[in-house]
Order: sequence, then C-alpha cells, then structure tokens
Amino acid sequence: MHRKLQVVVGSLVALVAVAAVVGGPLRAAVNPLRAALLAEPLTPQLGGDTSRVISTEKAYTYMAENSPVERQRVFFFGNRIFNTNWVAFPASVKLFDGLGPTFNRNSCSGCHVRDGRGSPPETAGGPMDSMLIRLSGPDGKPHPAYGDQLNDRAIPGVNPEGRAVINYEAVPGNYGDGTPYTLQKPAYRFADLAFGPLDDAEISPRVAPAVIGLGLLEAVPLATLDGLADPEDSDRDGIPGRINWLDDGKGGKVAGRFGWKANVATLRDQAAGAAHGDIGLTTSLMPTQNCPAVQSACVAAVADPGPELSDEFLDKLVTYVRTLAVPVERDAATPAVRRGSELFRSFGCAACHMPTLKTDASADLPELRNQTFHPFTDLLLHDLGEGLADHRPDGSATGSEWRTTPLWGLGLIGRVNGHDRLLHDGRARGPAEAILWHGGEAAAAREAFRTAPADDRAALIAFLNSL
Amino acid sequence: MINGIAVLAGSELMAERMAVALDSGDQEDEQSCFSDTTHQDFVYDVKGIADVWFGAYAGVPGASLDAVLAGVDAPLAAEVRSLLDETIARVAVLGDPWDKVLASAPGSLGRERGEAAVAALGKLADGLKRAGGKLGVLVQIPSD
Repeated sequence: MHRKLQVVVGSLVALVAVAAVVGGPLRAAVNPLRAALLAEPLTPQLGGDTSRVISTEKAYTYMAENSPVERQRVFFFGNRIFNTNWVAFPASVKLFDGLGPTFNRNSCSGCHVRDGRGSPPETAGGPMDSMLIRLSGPDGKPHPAYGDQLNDRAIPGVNPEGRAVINYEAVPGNYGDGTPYTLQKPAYRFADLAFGPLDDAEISPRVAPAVIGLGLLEAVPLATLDGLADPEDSDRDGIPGRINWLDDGKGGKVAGRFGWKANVATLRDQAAGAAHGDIGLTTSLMPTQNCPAVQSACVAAVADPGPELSDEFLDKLVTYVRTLAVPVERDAATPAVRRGSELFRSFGCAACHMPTLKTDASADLPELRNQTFHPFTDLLLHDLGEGLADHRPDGSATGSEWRTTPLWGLGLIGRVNGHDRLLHDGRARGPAEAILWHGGEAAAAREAFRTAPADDRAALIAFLNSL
Repeated sequence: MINGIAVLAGSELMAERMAVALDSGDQEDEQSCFSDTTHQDFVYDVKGIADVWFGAYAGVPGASLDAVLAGVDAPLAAEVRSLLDETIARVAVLGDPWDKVLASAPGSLGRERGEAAVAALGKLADGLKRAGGKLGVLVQIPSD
C-alpha cells in the first residue's frame, strides 16, 4: 500500500512538471493499468517462472526453468533447426537444403549467436554477419529490383544483391557536469550492387536482437497493449505510445509486437519471415522464392518444390524461441543497482521501458500462463526523434518510431556475444551511448540522465548491467 | 560432476545424438555416421555416466556420489540407481547400426526402442537434477 502511494505521488509530481512545461491544464488522469504495473515489486526473476539462474556465455540458451520435462524433445529439435547450416538444393541433407538463392546468413544462429544479439561489422566495409538492411521503394512497397531487404550472399551461380558499407561520423557532446563524450552516427552506402542503384530506396539497418523471453511477450494480452497505449497522449505526459497495427492479410488488423518497429505480430510470422528473408527458405506462410522479377538467375535457380522449411519444423522452431529462458537479474541487492533501479523510474525510463508485464491463463504453453515478469518494454511504438530516425515507415510505424526494446538480458550481452553494441543499428557502444541517442518522447529522460551527477549515471548503468 | 553427467544424459546424448536424429531421420545427424559405431558410442557414454555416479572404473571402487546421496536421501539414491539401470537396459537393446533405425518407419520396433532410450535419458537427467538439488548443486542443462 505504501509503495502504491509512493508511485501515485511520483506520477503526480511528474505530471505537474510536464504540465508546467507545456502550460496545459491539469486534467489528465493517471493510466490505471500503467500505475498498477509500475506498482508491482521488481524481483530478480526477470522472466517470471521461466527464469534461469545462469550468467555464463550460454546464458540465453536454456529452456524455460518451468517447462515440463517432455518439452525438451521439441525444444532440442527446435535448437537443432535454429543452429542448422542450410545448404543449397539439392543436397544429401534432404530436410535441410533449400538455402537461398539469395540470403544473408545460412542459419538462424549465424546472426543470433548463442540465441543472442548481433552487431555491426568490426571493420569499416567488413561483411554484415549479424545485421541487415531493410529496403523499400519510394512508394513504401518492397523495392522493385531488390525486394524488402538487401541479401548480401547467394548460392553458386546467383549474384548477391550487393553489400552495404558503414561510415561513422563522430558526434561530440557533454554530460551536464562537463564530462565530454563522443557518439558515432552511421551513414550507409552501397557497393557491388547487381541490379542498379539504390539511390531511391528507403533503408533501415537492423541488428539481430536476442531471442530470449519471446514467448512471454507474445502471450501478453492485447488488452494490456491497448491499456498501455496512449496514442492521443491523454495523460499529457508527452509520451503517447502506439500499437503498430498491421494488416493481417484477411482484411483485418493485428497488433505488431516483434521486430525493431513492432512490425511483426506473431513468432510464427517472425520465424517464417526471417527464414524467407534472411536464409531464403520457403514455408507454407511464404511459399515463393525471394526473387524479384529482374533477378533472372535467382528466378531461374533450381529450387526445392517446397516448402523448404516444413510446417512441422517451423512449429518446433517457434516452440524453441517461445520457451527460451530469461536469465535472472544479478547483483540486485547491491547499493548501486538499487539506486539505479530507483533512478530508472525517476529519470522517466520506465515510462516506456515498462518494468513489469503479465500473461493470463490463455497462453498456448502452460509454462507461459499467469506469469508476472520484467521485460522493461511496453511493446509500443515511440517517436525517438531525428537522431535515431531511419525515415522508413513500417506498418503504421513512422520513420522515427521504434518499439521499446526489452532490456532483460542486457547485462549479459558482453559475455554471450562478446560486444557491447546497442540500438537497432548497433551504433551505441554500451548503455550510456544508447541512452544519449534517445530523443523525441524520450528526450526528457535522456536529459535527466545526461545532466545527472556521475555517481547517479554510474548507478543507472550498474542497474542496466544487472539485467 | 553431477552437472556434467546430467548434461551428457539430458542434452548431448538424449537430445543432440539421439532425439534430434530420430526426429530428422537424417544420417548426417548420426553420432558416428562414418564408422557406424554409434550404438557402441551410446552404450559406453551411458556406462561412463554410471561410472562417474558410482565412483567405480574398470572394477576399481571408490568414493561415490551414490553413497553421498544415499546418506542424505536414501530413497532418491535408490531412484537414481534404478534410473541408471533403466537407461543402461534401454540403450543396450538399441538397433545397430543406428542409421538403419533412423531410416525405419514410424512405429517400427527400432524407433520404439530409440524413443524408450530417449525417455529413459530424459528421466535420468531429471533425477540427477533433483539429486543435485538435494546435495546443493544447481544442475542446468543448456541447449547447445
């Protein structure tokens, strides 16, 4: 009760501050669902009962702690599919051929190494091993010559579409106490383009995200997303939050949850989309090869009549990613982490990075039902300003809107994947740079961090690294 | 030691070497697809698990996890012994060569025996996990 009261008082203080800044009337109501979720106590069980006590380089690779023993069978086969290096058709491995004709990597784990997070190339002009470039034409549809992403690899006899080269520009700045920092802003150019220039294309670079805890996010009731969304900013906190409503292909709309712009609704769609776009595998959901008409060698390549990834395998792959455990929080009781957890709220980070979500009894898998967990996302779109904008609409997301990224597992990226690169294009080197890139709806929270004393900044980072 | 044999039983042997191959039916998923000694691999892998548990090797007895657990929870120690016996028996009767089992039809005797061995290994891993819990060892079985 005491805690709830504190939260309500805190929200009112924030509200008064915002109202004072924008000069608006003080008539907005506190969102009751948001207030209730913010009042939930934070526990180290970031993934609820799925959580695993593990912090090694394999921390993302475990099956949910509460999965029944019989789930192992499907889980381990799903893992086999996730790690399969697909080969060109025809090959001796009848069930695992069908790569390409064009592709980015030949396996899921090629980008999501140890079920973890990708990064940009380490060297200028190096190959993109765990990120890709989304494309669209000037009309917002897939680019007529290249489709909706640049495939930088191809099977023998077929041209890769081309490759992207990143150049970073230094962006200097200062913390409030005068301490300087230097961010790096990427610019992209294309090389070795096989089907003409891409000057007219909208582009969106995207790093492979970690794949832990996704079943829980998929099982969050739509009513929760609806309840947290505030498209008209009726609570006048300057943070609207929108659902990315997508065409469901049947004349209706469905809420997007996955991908950097919440541009995919379900894990089945996500897995089939990645199989098709990234590896070149057809499924019953996407039965035709990923070959724009002008790419004649791609169109003519001998292909498995398909689907190259069967429904049975797709289902097992989906069960695998649904049941990957979330590692528990480490060092939650240390003073710096506790202080950082409080600052996370007082800076305003929790306004979008919602600490707690819940599932109900309707989840497909019993281990995902009735869970209270801590992903630090509201699954909604927020405008993060010009600094991060890719200017490429996706579903109903604008070029400057991004889905709030879950923060669970953040502190283990270094151990699992050996890097510290964050944000959709991996431009940020560590959490501090990622925060400093936030703008738009998150500008006030960023400024709270930027102008905070060094001890407080360090405490916030310590908290993020405990996740 | 407990974590090691639990991972061998519940992940490497049960999943990667046996269940995955049964599910894919693919010879490339077979442990020893060139030498065709996969059945012997399975038999001696399980014997290795038992040797570690009983602290015995080549007839030479030693201090054992079995005895330690029996001192803490005799019924659980008896259960683990029985799970080991069951696993050894199920693996002993697996089809040889193993790739013929992978190529056989669903419901065939060879496949049913394979499934029984997979189930026994899964239960053994679960028993070892519970045994670890009793002895204060957190047993974690990763996917790769």
